[in-house]
Amino acid sequence: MKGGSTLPFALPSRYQYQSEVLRGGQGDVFICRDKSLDRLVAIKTLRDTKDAPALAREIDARAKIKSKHVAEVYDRIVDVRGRPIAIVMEYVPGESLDHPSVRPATREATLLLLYQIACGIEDIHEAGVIHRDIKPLNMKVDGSGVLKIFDLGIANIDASSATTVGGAGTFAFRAPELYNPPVRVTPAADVYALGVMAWWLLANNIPAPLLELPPQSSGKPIPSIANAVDSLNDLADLIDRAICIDPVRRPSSGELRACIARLINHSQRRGVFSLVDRVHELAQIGVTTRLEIQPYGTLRVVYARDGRFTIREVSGDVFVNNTRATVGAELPDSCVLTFGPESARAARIFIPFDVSQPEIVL
Amino acid sequence: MSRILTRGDLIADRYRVETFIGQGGMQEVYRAVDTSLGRHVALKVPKNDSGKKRFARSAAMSARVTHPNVAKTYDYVDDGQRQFLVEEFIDGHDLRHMLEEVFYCLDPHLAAHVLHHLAKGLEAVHREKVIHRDLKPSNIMLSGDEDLASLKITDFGIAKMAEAEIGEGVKSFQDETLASRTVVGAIPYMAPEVLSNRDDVSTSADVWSLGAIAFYLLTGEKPFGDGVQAVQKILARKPPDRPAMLAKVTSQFRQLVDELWDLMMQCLAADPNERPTASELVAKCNRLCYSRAPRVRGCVESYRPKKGKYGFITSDAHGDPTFFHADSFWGHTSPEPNQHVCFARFPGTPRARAHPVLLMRNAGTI
Repeated sequence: MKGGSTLPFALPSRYQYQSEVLRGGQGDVFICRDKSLDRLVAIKTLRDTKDAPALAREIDARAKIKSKHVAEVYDRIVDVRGRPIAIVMEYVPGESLDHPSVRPATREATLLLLYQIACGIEDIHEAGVIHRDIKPLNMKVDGSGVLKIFDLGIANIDASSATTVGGAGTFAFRAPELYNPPVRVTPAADVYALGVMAWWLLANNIPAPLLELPPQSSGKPIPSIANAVDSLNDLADLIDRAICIDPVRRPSSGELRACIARLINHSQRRGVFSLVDRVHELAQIGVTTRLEIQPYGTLRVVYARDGRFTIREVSGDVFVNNTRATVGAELPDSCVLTFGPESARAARIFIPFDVSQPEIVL
Repeated sequence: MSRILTRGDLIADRYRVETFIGQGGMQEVYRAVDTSLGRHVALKVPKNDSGKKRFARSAAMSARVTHPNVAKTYDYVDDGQRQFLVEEFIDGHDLRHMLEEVFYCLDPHLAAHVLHHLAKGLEAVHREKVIHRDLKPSNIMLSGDEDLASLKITDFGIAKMAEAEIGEGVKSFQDETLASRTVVGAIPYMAPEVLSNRDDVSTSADVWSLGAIAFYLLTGEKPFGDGVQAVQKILARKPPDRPAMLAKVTSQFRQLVDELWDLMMQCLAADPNERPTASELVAKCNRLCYSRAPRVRGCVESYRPKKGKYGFITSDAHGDPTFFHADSFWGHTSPEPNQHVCFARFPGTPRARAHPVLLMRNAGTI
């Protein structure tokens, strides 16, 4: 909702009013110029001072969280009695994620966005904070392509004993348990929202049972996201579990983050066999490398579709870090392949194998 | 030595000074508590007020850049007497400290990681049409972990402030004791056009500095040496010699070292127009394959240099010793018993396996 409001208090002189951005439930956000640093800031105000504790909670939560994905707080504005009435925050221009124009165009970009959302939620959880209102409207992507999560206003500081009556999350992205007061909110509620965001971003669709009120109350089955989106590998199972009605069965935000990262990189990995006189590179999905060392044995390794380097075929005496090689086993990211029985001692052939991949840097 | 601020000082009714944490040529840096928001901040104070305007400008310049690899600017205060720049506090050390006190150099994987993040940060700086002008290891802050997980460029535009002093420093090379220590420290990272014609500096000068930093990280040596000798060599506009350390790289490191070397040489091109832009450098780094396996610190327990070329590392983090092969070792020397190292650890039987193994300074603490 745009327009209409004026600032409910006199701005400190260093800030100069520019325009209003958004009228929210508790207050409005105004864009102002910070004259000291000559930059735009977003000033989030309260309409009613009785909501001051929520604002104080947001300030406290923000101070605890170390994350590049949570919008920065610069200052707070207090009333004559010292109560916070506004927060001065980083201003991120552009539309929030719910706007069609900011939807990523490619699968690669979609996965990178989902990865950043998972990173942000993980950072929030690591600080012992629960966001409780993860949804597209509360996120923006900045000029460097870095996702920012906003609105920790209802975030509950004490993750260990978080109980609350009712709930102020958002339809569809809200976990079912938030509809059952008195609610004991856990970080799993944010993981649920991340799971719904994954459906929304990857499948461009949210399964009907999630749109019920409360969600999944009809008991109708939810299809696996693997039926709607190709080649998610083991991420499909994690997303399916993230939207489980039972919070305990949901994975952690960190597990989801790691799995998304693996999927992003799975086809860009490089396996290198360091032979005595040269290196041999295995860097294309579906390709295999066959090592034959006479008279000891052979080993065939495939760069599999799931991004793992897997043993396809083995004969004779071949060991991976001193454990006998077996078909189907994955090679560790750094290991030594040994050809020859232990009795051959120094005559054995040792071949280091190392896996590396591009780092996701935002 | 007397400091500008003392513990307990309250700046702008908001920032309470806790401790002095360091200084550059132009400024002192303190850790303070932001009493409004309940968090630590870095408080920077210029040493004298001759550069007052420039200090304000440099604050505004850095405030324009928002990126995870650039230290965040929170506030700028002018209380009538002094100016203060309030930045994100990074609980760690600068890159110069890490190379002079903790490591000697970084193995190719860790060096690639640092270069990648610096390139990303620099891309964001240049997107805002800001030239840093003083990129050097002491202006790069690192989180205090073995993985160097978080890296941030800081101290923008201070170079502009420092211009008068640079002139002085270059003039007095004949008598190096007179030259400002700050300027001398920055010389190995200054592009030829910066040293010869200070009016003709573009974003590509920062790219040159990044190349020089990467060279130093990988080898522990500056591409053109230090001091007067460095000025002459940089101005000679010839590619740097390949350090002895890179003459015999084991096959496990060779590919990544060659890729890093190519990138460094592109950045260190004498002609600014031949250097990649920060964005082009990011694109190249995005394709680099390197390992980010978590690192732990340990100590070489035994090493068999003649027959085996392997040894074992003990670590507080793990009960059992970890096996390593000499080919996994990165440093100027060969591994010695009791030598401190930093390594990534992979499963193995009967012992876990370390790769890579990075030489550390024995007294080093992170």
